[in-house]
Amino acid sequence: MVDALAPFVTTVTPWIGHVMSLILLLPVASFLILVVFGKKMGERSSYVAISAVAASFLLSIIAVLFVMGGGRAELSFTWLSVGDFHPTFGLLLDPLSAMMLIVVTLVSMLVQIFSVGYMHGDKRIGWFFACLSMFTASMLLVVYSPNFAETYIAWEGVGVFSYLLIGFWFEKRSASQAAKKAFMVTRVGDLGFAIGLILLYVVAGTLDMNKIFGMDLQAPLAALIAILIFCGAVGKSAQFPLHVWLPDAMEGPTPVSALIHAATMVAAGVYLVARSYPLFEMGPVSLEVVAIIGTITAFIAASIALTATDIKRVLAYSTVSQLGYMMMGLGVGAFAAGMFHLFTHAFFKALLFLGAGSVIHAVHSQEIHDMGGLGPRMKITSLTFIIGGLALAGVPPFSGFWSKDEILLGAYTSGHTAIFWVGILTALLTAFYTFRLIFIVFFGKPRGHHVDHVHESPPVMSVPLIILGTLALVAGMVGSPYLGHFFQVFITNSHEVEHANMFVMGLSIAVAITGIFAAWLKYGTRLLPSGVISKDNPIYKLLVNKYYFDELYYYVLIKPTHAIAKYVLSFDQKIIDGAVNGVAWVSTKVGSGLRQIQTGYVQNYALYMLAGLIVLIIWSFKILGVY
Amino acid sequence: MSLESIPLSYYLILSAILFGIGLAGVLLRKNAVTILLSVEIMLNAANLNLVAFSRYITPAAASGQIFALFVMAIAAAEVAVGLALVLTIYRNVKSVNLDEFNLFKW
Amino acid sequence: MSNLAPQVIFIGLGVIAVVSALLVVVGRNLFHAAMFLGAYMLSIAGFYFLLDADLVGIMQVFVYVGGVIVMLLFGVMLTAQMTNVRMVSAVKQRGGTVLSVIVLVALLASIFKKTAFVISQATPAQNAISLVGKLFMTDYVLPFEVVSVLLLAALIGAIVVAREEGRPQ
Repeated sequence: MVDALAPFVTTVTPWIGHVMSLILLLPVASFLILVVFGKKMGERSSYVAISAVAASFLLSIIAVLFVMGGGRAELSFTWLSVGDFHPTFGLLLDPLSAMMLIVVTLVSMLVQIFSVGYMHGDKRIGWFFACLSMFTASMLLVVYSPNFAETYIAWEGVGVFSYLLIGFWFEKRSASQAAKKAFMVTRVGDLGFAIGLILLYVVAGTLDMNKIFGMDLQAPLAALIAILIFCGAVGKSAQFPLHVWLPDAMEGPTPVSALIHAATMVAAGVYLVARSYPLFEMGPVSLEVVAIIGTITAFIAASIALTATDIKRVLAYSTVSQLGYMMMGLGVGAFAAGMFHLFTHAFFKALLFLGAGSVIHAVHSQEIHDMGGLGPRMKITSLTFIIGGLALAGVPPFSGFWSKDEILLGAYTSGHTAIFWVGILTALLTAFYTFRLIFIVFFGKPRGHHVDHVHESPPVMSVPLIILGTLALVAGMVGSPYLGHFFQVFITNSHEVEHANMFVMGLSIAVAITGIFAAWLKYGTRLLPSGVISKDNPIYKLLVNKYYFDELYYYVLIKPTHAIAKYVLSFDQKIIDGAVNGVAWVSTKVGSGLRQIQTGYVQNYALYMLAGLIVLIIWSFKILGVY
Repeated sequence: MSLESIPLSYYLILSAILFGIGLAGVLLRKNAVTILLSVEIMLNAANLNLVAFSRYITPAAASGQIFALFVMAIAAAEVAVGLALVLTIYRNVKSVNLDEFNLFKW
Repeated sequence: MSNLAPQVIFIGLGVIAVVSALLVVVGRNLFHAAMFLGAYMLSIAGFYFLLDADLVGIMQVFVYVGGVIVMLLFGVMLTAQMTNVRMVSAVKQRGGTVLSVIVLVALLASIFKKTAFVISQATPAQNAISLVGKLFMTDYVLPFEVVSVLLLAALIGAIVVAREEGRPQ
């Protein structure tokens, strides 16, 4: 069904090869320049990074136009040769990667422009832009990769730079902890990914996607490998049960959060599943797993977002929830819909995060109860934020509506009824928590002491908001029935698209409106008493504590690990250290003994020489056999 | 003339004894000048050795004598420099007793 | 008698050499020690004559007895009291030294006894002085020149070292 992933055309016309390479190499070059000169350049580092990523973006447009014209291209060379193992390294340009190139470079460019304002005055700004550049480049390589070995390398690159960026303010203990958590939790998923790749190599004898997708693997085996690869996606895309790192990753600078959530990091997992889709199709059970995990994630995250009070955390849980939607879409067979949602989500989520960044920049707090009444004071920010919120809530004609509706439609038509209804319920929750946030932050009376001198952010921050706001408004159109499902046709290279179902569409509009209305009742007006939801309610407690996932992991994983580590530590301290210290003690004692012969008297030394001479003479007697 | 009556080994053993005496002096005396005297004893003992070899093994070539003369020249130089050093030390610390110098001590 | 004379001379010179060397090493009076060193060197010169090395013997008397001993006497008189109460070094190693020296001498003696030297019966060079002179100018010219440079360096070095610093000449 997905013709786009049919064996690639590998004829490369030279100019498109150069374009493809440059898109990747420009951010890498920016990284190298900034690593060396970043300290000296200071604030001017941003010029290098932004011009590099802007050039990449323009070249990506050329690449997309090339692909729209029916072109496909693959560059590859043998990376190393070890015995029978000849992994290649390459760049692949097809509709899927072309779409992602646009998303990654565009969002990265806007985020970097926004960062100029947000990070103004930070003393390690050069390093910040260097990391952003390489983060983008790593993600571009994930997108480009035509074989799993290369994907894995780029995947780890994304992990490393996300670690560096989340922990960018490592002076703050919570930031370094969050970076560590992000790195280690995703590592759990990567372990599954690695095992899957090893298994795949054993079974297929290659990691080249093109060859693997042309094979006919047995269904159970393919399903096992696909699920293992999906483990990697679960880690990176923060799916249940490895979603715990993403909300903590809010400790990073807000532009980094925007980048992670919109384009570079979490999208990698969804993209990986999409890229490996033929493999999942060989073992259909794996798609069911993807759909179920996605659905659980979507619901859990949306429900947690209901009670979060940190503006970035609300958005973080909404990301987890939307990623669940994407996985759900992929899992129920709505491949194009899943990718479409990734596409639209990238824009409106980047918008929401940058908007949140703008708000935080203004009020110096992340707690939503310190905000309120910001609407009149920050017109651009609040207007664009509301556009993003409407897109997230799935209100037509905003972009999120079209893509989310497609996913629900896919679930409905493929007969996954339970998943469909959970999806609808989650849509209701989504609309509710989004507008809870908007009503609390931008409407009502000002709270908190900073509010009086709140002002709109500088143009360097507001212009990206306007651009993203426009995109959030219109990006959905490319996949809407009005444009003949252009996006889906482009991605799948097939004209068999799902036709709009009025029941599904009507239902999703209804729940979105209901959710917003409920939020307005609760937070926009004083019609409902504030005590309508008791703080002692067990469900409320469960949500506030995020289903106790962190606590569960603490008691199931961390505590036993600590206990084991303690025993190992005592072994290390007593036996290993003892041995080492013993050697040192013996050396010290021997040394202080030998020191006694260093009297400083020349005559002593002369006598030692004489003794040495005698020994030598006797020894030479022995050698010569005199005696 | 004396080849039959006095074997070479007599000379060699005598020079070894003299060398030993000089060596003991170097190792046991405290006065730097005495130590220089003892070094001269050792040098002369070695010279005796060289000349004896020259006489008994290569009587026609005289190369051992040349060696002995070289040793004398170097001994003269050594005494000159050695005494200069002793004088300088004496001027600085008013002593030439080597057992008072242990600056190299740990 | 003519056969016995060299042996008598050898023994006599040997006794003088050993005794004077011992007196240099163990004596309490520095001035006397220098004098005994002179006697020791004269006895060594006697050995040179006995070994038909006239030139070396003469040089021994000139250089050592005439030059080195005088220089050492200057050293003695410039630096120390003539009669030092305690001449033995405070560095406590007498036992070790005596033992080591005896072992060394015994080893050397045993080597000399064991080694079968090839004794040449040829007559020694009659005109040793001219022979040595020629050798210095031919086969040994490089060492000869090096030694002269060394002596010059030692001369200058000795002056530089012994000169009191800061005082203009």
